Parts: sequence; structure tokens; C-alpha cells
Amino acid sequence: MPDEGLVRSWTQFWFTPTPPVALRVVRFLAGLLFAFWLLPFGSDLDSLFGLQGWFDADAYVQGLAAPAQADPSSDDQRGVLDPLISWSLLYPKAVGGNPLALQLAYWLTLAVFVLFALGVATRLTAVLSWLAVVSFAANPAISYDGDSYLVVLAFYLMVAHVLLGQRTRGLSWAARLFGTREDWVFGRLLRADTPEPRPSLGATLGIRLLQVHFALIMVISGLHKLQFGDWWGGYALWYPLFPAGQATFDQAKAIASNAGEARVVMFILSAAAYAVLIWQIGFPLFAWRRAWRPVLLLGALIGWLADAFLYELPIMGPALFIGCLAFVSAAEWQRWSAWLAGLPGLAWLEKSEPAPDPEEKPVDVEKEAVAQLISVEQ
Amino acid sequence: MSPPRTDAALLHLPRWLYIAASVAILFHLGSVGARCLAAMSGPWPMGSEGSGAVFPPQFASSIVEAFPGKYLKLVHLSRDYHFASNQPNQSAYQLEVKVKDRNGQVLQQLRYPDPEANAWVRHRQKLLVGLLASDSMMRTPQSEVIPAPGQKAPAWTYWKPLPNSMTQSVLATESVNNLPRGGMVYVPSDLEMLFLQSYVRYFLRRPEAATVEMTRVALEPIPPAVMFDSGFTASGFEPRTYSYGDRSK
Repeated sequence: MPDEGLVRSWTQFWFTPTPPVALRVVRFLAGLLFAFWLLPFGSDLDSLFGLQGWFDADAYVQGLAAPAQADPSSDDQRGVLDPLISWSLLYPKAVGGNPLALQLAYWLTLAVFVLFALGVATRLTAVLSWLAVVSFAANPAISYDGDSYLVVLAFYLMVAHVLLGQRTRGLSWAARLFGTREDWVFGRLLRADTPEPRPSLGATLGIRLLQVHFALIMVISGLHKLQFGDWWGGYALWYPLFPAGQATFDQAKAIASNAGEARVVMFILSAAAYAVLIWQIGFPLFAWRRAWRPVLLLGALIGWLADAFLYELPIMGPALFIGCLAFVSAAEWQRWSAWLAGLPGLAWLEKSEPAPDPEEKPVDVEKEAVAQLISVEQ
Repeated sequence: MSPPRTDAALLHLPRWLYIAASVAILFHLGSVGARCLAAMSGPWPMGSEGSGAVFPPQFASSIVEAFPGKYLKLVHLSRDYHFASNQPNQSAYQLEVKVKDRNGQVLQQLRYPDPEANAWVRHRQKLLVGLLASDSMMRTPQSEVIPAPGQKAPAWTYWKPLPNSMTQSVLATESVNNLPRGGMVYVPSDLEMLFLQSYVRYFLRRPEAATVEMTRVALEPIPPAVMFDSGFTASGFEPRTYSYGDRSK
């Protein structure tokens, strides 16, 4: 029955335990990204995050207050900034209004990000990392598109690590609260008897949620681009090449000395623009297919380079790439790891037992059991 | 050879747990999806009215205004992923600041984004300055506005072009009856004024600061048409200045 197939597909997609290999890679890279995101702001903490900074406490209050011209009889008395302001651990005056406390919070946060990346007490550091990311990203005045990726990464990594391995029998309370040493990045390097990662439902749930949310972001962002005529006309990539305030009129004119050259330039730019649109809007069609992995990762790499060097948007590029890495299965990571283990000095990467391949068709249990019974009777 | 993946690989959890988890997953992702749909869109062509943004579909708005919206705010996943960076032809903005004492002497002269700051801080300063550029165009009344007895005609705050200048404007507050009848003027948004006042308070926290003069400089993007159309000239892309004047707390 079709609905039984749908239920089975749903159950296999969301509830098949997988080794947390992909989760660990994403965690390591995301933890480093969180640290690199926050590190450059050390010299401007008060001005960017403090309650006496560019966006001060009074502005928060005014932003949340109902507008003066609002209809008093209306149920909607939300302020103009109400949709943008949520909670933050930096809002209390004891933190955001105290430069010393803000400095302390900043350095503690950096330490948490590094520990999380290294796999130390991951259940605790995952929660703390999420709290820190959403708190430092909460200021609506410096809110930025790339912060969205960080919040998404932090949330699902938290979900995954809170659930990871909780069904393991004999787990101590400390391990249930803080995590195990299995996540330690250098575990295999320092201890040869470090156990193989056990398949985990928590890892599957966290990674799948991240994958689906990330795919949604790609599609929505791609469709949003279609609201601007410059994307339809293929002109969109011209502007980051000649950014306002940096490029001069003469530089723009000099790119093409005649109409023929100008048409060649626009041919290339419009083709590239449509490639971006197709990659983003078609993302769910290829992201989960192993055969299309080069398209996924090459597109993510090009996106990273473009965000960094064309658009000069910090964070967005690496966050995009890490999100795409979440689609790489445990079996693929282990194949790549086995290849890398052949390189000098990396033999410690070699795994003894490969992870199951998610693209291999499952065997029907009942048929298998009946076949075994028949063979035994015979 | 890897072991065959069997349905036995699925954990033998109680059915109710699968159902509960599935409901939670659908609720969560459904909320995220509804939030993405519940976003203003546009600008779209509006016929004789030119172009404009449109409100989101009511079903999406209603869902987001209910519990899913509150849930998403709680977990900080309430963005609609209509990224500002998706809009290609964006102007660049700078903010020139002069902090003055009681006598009008300039204590400090600053420019943002600060060229001395690191790239990440400069990027955030760019965002801060860009928040001041949310003006909208409004049509002035066609006829004189007659106020109620004992009251004055309403005053409008708008960007008033300087005489003999195409690129300089000052923020002025005047009686609506002094404005050109039936014309179009740029007015700053409530959000812009909220951010402006916050920035004023920030600069006036410096010692001895009494007023701060702020000027926003807008640099327009150069379109690709300059390659094809010889009618474009460099003078058409000169910086435009918008002066907020001297402001105090």
C-alpha cells in the first residue's frame, strides 16, 4: 500500500540510527566557525553588544512599545521591532550594562566554542554554544543574514548532542549530563582503544533536521532572489563586481571597450547568475543524492569564495559550506577517511568497520526471517 | 562488504514514541516553513500605482501569530530567510559624525564604517549605518490642511533638498501646508528615527559632548547599462548627502 511505503520511508529517513561521523565533522567545523565569528568583535564589545552601545537599552524599550499612532482598540499593540527582538543572555543590565561582565561573557563564550569544537563535554558545551550564539546574535541593529546560519547550526547541533547516546545502557549520570569522551577530537590519536562510534538515533535526528532546515533556507533564499528583476535579467552578479562606494564609474566603463565585449561580459555574468538560481532552487533535488555530491560541494565551495571575495560577507560562505557537509553520509566520510589514512601521518584515521551505506536498499526482515527458517528446516 | 541494512537497524521503540517524535518534527519544520511564507514580498508591479510590497498570505500570518510564532521566537528561529543580501543593486552608506561641546566646538570627528576597524567590525558598522536608510516616499496633501480650532496644522519631518543642489538634503520639520501641494517627498521611517536617536545617545555618552551632527552619505551602485549606454556620465553617480543636523538627547 502506498501509505505503508510512505510511513516506511519517513521512518527510515528520520529514525534509522547512524554513526555520528557527520555530526562530529559538522560539530568540529561549526565550533571553530562560532569562535572565528565572535573573535574579531573583542575590540568593540560594548559598542556592538552592550546596553550603552549603538543600540542601547532605551532603543530596545522603544522598539517594543506600541507605536503612538496604533489603534488602542486593536489587539495588535506590538512595537515596530517586536518581530526582531527575542531574549538574550546579554540583555540583563548585570551583563550587557557592565563592561567587565561583558568581557567575561565574551572570553568564556570563546572558550566554550573551542571546547565544543574539540568535543569536550559536548552535551553541556552544545547547549552553552547555542545559548551564546543566539545571545550574541540577538541585537537587531547588527543582525546579519549569515547569523541565521550560525543559529541554525547551533540549534541542531544542540539537539543532536543532547540526545546522542542517551539510550546507551550503563551510562553514568555524568555522561548523561555532560557527554562522553567518544566525541573528543583527538581521542583516536591519543588512545588506540577509542571505541568505534555507535549508531545513534540522536545523531540521525539532529543531522536530518539540519539538512531539511538548510534545504528550506536554500530554496526560500533562491525564490526570494526572483523578486528582483536584476536576477531575472542576469545582472545580479554585476553589482558585487562593481560595489557601490568602491568601484568608480570609469572602472565600470573600462570593463568593455565596445558593445561586443560588453555582451560577452553579460553573457558570462547572466549564465553565472542563473547557475546560482538553479543550484539554490533545485537544492533539495540533488542534496541527498550521493551521485550529485560534487555538485553539492563544488557549488558550496564556489558560494564560499563568492561570499568572501565578491560580496565580502563574513561567515556566510563557511556556514554555507558546513551546512552542505551535513548531507555527506557517514559511509562517505569513512571512505574519504580511509583514503586520507593512506597519507603519511594520518594512519590513525583508519576505521576497522565501515558504516552502512544509506543508499543500499534495506532487506525485508520478515522475508529474511522466513527464508532462514526454511533453510534451517531443510 | 558492508552489512546489509535491515529494518532491524531501526530501533525497536514503542509506536507512540515514533508518532510523538514525528508530530514534533512536523510541528517544528512546519512552523519554520510557515514563517518563511509569512514574509512581506516585493516590490511587485502594481499597475498605475507603480510598484510596492504586498502582505503575506493570511493563512501563513495566522499560523505564525499563533503558538508556532512564539515557539520560533523562543528558539531564535523566527527568520524568514529573505536575505537582504539577495537584493543586488544596493547603495553603500557612510555616516559622518561630529561630536560637539556646548559651545559648538567639534570634539571628535568620526566616520563609519571606520576604515581603521577590522573587516568584521566594519561590516557590522555598515549594517548599523544602513539602518538609517529606510526612507519612504509620500504624497503631500492636494489642498491646504485646515486644523481644528485652537490647534496647528500637522508638521511633517521630511528630507528637504538644499537650494540649487541635486545631491544634498537636510532633515526638516515644517507645517504640512508649507510643502508643495500634491508633490512627493521622502520621509524617514519610524524605525530610522528610532535608530538615529539611539546612535545620538551613543555618541553623546562621550565626556563633554552636548550635540552631535550626523550626515548620511549614500553612494549609488553603477548599473551594467553604463557599458552599453553612452548617455551615462560620472556626475550621475555623485554621493548624495542627507544631513540630520545637530541633535541632542
